[in-house]
Amino acid sequence: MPDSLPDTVRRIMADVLELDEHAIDEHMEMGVVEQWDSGNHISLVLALEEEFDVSFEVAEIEAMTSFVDIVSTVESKL
Amino acid sequence: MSELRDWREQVGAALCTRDYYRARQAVVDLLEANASGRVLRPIAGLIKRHNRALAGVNPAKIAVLSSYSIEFLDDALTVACFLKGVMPEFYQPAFNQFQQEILAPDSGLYRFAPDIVILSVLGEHLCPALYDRLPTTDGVQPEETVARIEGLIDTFRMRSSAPLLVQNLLPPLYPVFGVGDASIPFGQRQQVQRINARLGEICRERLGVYVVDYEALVARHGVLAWHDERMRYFAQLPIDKRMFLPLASEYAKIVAILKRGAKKCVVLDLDNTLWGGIVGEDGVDGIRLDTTYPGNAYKAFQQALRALNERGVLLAVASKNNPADVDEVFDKHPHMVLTKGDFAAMQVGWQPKSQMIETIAEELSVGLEHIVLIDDNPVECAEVSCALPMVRTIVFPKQPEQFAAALAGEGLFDVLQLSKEDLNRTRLYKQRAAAENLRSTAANLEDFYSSLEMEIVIEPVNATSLSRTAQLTQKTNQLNLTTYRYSEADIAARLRDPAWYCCTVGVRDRFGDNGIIGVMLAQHVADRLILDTFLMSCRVIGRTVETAMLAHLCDVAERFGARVVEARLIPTAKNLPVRPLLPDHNFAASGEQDGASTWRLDLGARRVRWPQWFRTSTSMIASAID
Repeated sequence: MPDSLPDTVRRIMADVLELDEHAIDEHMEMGVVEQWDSGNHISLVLALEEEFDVSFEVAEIEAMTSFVDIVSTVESKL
Repeated sequence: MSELRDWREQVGAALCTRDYYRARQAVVDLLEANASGRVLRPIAGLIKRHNRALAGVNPAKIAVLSSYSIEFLDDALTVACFLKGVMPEFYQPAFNQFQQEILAPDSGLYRFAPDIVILSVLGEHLCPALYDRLPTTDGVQPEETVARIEGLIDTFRMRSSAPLLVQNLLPPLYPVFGVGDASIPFGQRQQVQRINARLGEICRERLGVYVVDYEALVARHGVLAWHDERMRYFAQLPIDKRMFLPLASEYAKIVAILKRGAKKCVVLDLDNTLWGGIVGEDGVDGIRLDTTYPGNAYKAFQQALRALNERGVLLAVASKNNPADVDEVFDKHPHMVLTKGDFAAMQVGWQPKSQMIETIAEELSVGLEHIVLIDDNPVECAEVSCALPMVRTIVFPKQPEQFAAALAGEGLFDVLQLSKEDLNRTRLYKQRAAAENLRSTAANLEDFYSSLEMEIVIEPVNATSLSRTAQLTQKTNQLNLTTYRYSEADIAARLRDPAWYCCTVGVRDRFGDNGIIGVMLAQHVADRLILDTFLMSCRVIGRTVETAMLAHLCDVAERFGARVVEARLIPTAKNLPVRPLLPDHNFAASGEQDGASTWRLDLGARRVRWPQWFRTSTSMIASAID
């Protein structure tokens, strides 16, 4: 069975932020964990773009600062 | 997705076994499944975690000075270097600090003591006026830019002898004159191209400074595809995410040449590699090799191989075939580009390919780690990888039109500088094979040595031999006492020090000139002459050249007023052949530390005598010492 979108996002976040998958829950927000800094935010956005073959505008990149926001932004592109 | 996780676990598991070749294969498999930034990060993490434990990789301290946010390429750089057998440790100052880092003598760059420095500065940051203003018509802007680069290079060289990689410049994407840019004198592209041409000259004039041909790299990938304009302005990162690995790989190619040397020999399959079809089944007339598709693509591949061969890369054949069929193709096929004479070794038969490759390696005295197998059959490649993991195998694509790219893509045979020996190598190996034949017929060993009519030429390292000397320290593994790797600049520094004696050794014989095949670097300290480096090419093994070299060293020691010749042996996985050298020449073991042993030869009691079968002129030896 293919992974659900939130699961895939969670795995990508775990890879890029070098966190355990289980540490990433619905309430995860940028700045709450030290790994999710502005530099890693760029890396995360680029990894999401590659994985889902989408492209984000700068305004979206600046807004997708929580797990929930990321999932909904990706969803809107698919 | 779950498959991806399995692969990743395999990478981790392979790294845990400390087996570099297995870990490398696991990383290659994983990247083939998914090369995105998302997998690069965890792979890079795994590699960094195991950086001390892996056998068979060369560590390198690499400083990356840049005018943009190159830190986003860190993971790609780590992975690219690892794939090339180099375990990097990076130093990266904040972006756009490259000038301060080079100019300030106490900067982090110099404290880091890098092995290699990469200067990745973009044209628009180095000379903005050439990119965002109407260019001046007086040619001053390129000259000023060149002078700045030259100043940075020379300042760096005063403070560090590390090899320096300088990236050339990409012309503006949209020149201000548009379609007229190339027609108008002093168009922007022409001005930048002038800078690049001068940069090449500057690098060629200096030791250990190399151009990264960024312009050519970006052109291969397409200038538009290369860039991400959004990230250029948002994150100081003008390079598209899909290009991180290609750029990192370009740097890694150069790093690998400096740290590990290039591959020397390409072993080729025949059926569906040099020609289409199977000669044993289709017959000489049935194989595809002509002027129409796909025969013309196979022919083009043979032409690419011929060019590599002309450049000094050895060609060999390992093919499961009936030798008579293969002979017939070489003898009769009108479209064969390569002749039998182009191949330094040929194994045609039915034994496993790993055995064929071992035979080829032995025949040519080429280390297995310097051999690449090209085969269209993944099973053959797997058999070789399993038996001889140090041999690089490339499974060729089904379509022959993709062969040339597959051959060139990894830069396995790329070189940074050309020595005369490179151009002569193929001929040398053929001479060597002829000498081996003679050996088997010579009645006894002394007769054999005499019959070779060997002449030895020992000369102090000079401007002409400097590049070859550095190259030999970098790539000689077997007959090498200490395996110290030196850049040209390192050797040049020793040449300036009167306590050092640095010489090259050349051998001529009745079959031809072998060129420079040995190097000795020694330092005079009090009553001792300390042999820092002793290396000799395997090409002349078994001809007592090493005895002549040590005899010369005794003469040199005497000239310095030393009473003792001292040598160190640092054992490596590859230098087994050199281990008997010192005891065989009456050196006495005098100490051991961390696996390295020290040996002494007291000149008052014993010295190494010149083998009588060498023709040498004493004047030559005297002049080598003065």
